[in-house]
Amino acid sequence: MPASDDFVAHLTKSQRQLHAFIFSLVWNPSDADDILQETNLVLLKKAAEFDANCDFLPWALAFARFQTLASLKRRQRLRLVFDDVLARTLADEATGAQPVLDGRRMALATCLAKLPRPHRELLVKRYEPKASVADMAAAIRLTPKALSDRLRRIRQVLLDCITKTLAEEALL
Amino acid sequence: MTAPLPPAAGNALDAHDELAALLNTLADGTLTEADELRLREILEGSQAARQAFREFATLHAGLYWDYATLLTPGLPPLSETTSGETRPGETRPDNAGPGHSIRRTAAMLAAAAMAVATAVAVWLFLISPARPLVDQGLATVTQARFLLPSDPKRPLAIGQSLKAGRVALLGGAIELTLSNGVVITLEGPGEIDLQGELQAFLHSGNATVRMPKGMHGFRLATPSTDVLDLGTEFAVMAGGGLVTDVQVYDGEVIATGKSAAGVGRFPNRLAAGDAARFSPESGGNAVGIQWKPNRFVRRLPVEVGIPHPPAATSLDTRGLESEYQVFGRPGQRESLPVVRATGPVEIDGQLDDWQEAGGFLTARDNSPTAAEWMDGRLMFDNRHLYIAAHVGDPMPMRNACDPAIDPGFGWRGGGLQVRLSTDRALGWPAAGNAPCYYEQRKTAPTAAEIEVAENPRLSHLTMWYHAASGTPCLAINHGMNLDAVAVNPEGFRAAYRIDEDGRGYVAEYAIPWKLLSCADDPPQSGDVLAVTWQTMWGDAEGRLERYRLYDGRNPSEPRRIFVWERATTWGRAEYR
Repeated sequence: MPASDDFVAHLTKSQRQLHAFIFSLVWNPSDADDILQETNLVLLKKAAEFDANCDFLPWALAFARFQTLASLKRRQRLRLVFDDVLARTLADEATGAQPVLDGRRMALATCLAKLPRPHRELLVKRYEPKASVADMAAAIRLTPKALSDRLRRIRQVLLDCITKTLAEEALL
Repeated sequence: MTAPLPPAAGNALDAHDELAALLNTLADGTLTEADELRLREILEGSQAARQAFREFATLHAGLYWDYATLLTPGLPPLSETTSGETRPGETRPDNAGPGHSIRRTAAMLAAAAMAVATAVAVWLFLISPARPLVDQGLATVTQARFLLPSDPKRPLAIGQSLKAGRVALLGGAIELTLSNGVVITLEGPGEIDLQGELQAFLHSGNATVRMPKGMHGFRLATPSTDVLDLGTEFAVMAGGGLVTDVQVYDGEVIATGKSAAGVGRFPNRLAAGDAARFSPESGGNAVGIQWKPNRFVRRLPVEVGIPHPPAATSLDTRGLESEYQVFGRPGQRESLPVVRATGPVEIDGQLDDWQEAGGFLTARDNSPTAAEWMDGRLMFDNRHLYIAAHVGDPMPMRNACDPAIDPGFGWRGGGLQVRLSTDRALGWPAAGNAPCYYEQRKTAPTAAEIEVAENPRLSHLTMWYHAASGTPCLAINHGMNLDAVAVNPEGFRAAYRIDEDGRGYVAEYAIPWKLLSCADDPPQSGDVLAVTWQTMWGDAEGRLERYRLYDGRNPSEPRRIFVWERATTWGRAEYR
């Protein structure tokens, strides 16, 4: 049975959350994109089983978790850090945390705007497709660790800014 | 109340620092095995750590997800766009007061996107797989349905090559495949101007654009809108009164309305599931409209096949589950990736050199706990097609079919069947019906259909392990007649390996293109050809098939057609 319009709407609306969750287990953008597409296919196949009276995201995250772990095992890229139990815990907690995480994603744009240009340019290089810290470090004659430390400081600025922005929003 | 982080060597601050350091090294790919174990310990032991982990992952994923919009080189200082100034043609929202940073963010994104649109276009053009423009023909007519060209003196036919210029229809629809693989489907009445491999102008009517995997940067303009593709499938309606609708099926586009004064409007980033209208009434700005999955013609199938007559297989009395078992389940995977091998592939029954192959996992009843599952992979290089599968099977590698005696039944005791087209001119979907297709339906093939069915670049591969002799086997049929089979032909290599727990096996094959009739013109990256894959599980004696799964099936075709009867039922092989 084809997926209903409502189901497709749920699915498309959840893409970003699914991607972020998959990414948190994969930590590789290319793999995350692939697994997101695999998850979408599974969800569409399972559309008839979705109870419209239930929340879509927890239901979808359960499939994303299975699909991610299966894919990582298949690719022999499963990290030691994420076993099935921990992944399940993270998935369960991620479901409840979505409203907060959505707010953080929105606030990210605001905080990027406040970054000094050199910091943004470094992020541009770091997050461009297929970039690697090792290659970047070699290009600017830094050790990967030194570069990673720089990125860490910038990320921390963003994390602090996001938290502050959300706190200010809450007061308005 | 959340549990504190498990302590490192020092105090709580040290523990937070340790977690931050671990997360950053994880993000930057420099995490050691010991680090991973420590991170796991921290995450398992602390809810606060998991919250920090989620927040960090959200940041990291968000920076990747929003790369094109937020971080593209050329972005002006974003702080300038938050000053409250309005740009020419921009109307400041009434509610955009100070403090509404989320709403400010939306405006900022729009402004930023406008400034980067040109840079993005150039950037995308540069990173798109470049292919030389061909002198002869920018596009080929690859499908047509109920076609009624506007100019009777310029008929259009499947296979016809078209140079840059205008294509106009009064009715029907036409699929045009550009020389770089971009597929445009135009509905009549409609008129499109093909301007280049990455540019077209839709004067009127409906058109969809489908990009090959990995390609970006196609620009479809209308009298009132400019749509820049970011790797996607999207549709555009150019209607009267300068109204343009844009609907995105897959990926993302940047759509920009044109104002009457010729001043560019703010671009709108539309993602899969988004639809928007640009019109003079809205001042050229995007207004969300309902996304309708069937509004546009996305694919033009060849004439849809005729389902199998129930009487031929008593299907109506066997029930739906039995029908699924025979023809496959609905909703099967449509596309299978075929990835170019980046180095030598050792045929040893181990998949450690298949890391880059995008596999496809399927399981009985889609259950994660099923004993019968299959992890399939396809790779290729200039000389070989490589096929590998890790198959979950409680009774593995017991096939009793002797290749010397019953080569046509190797599938029955458990194994793999891959049917594929290596005909690059044929594209997808493939064409060709077996003689029994006509016999069962009491029709007769035309001379052209008979010729198509004999295409030697349609191949049927059956792969199994003959337990009695310990021999990996391969049987190949060419064309759709299935009357001649080559068994264990010279040149192929194969290896099988049983799982340590005895509940599965790995099969690995290297098949030279010459055995698939295409050594002179093998498939290339970017090709989309036809493929379908069946996995069979045998019984304990390896004589009878007890279960089967399908992957790669054309969803436009009726389910009640055997894949070996009709090549059009085969799914898409996407060569990467």
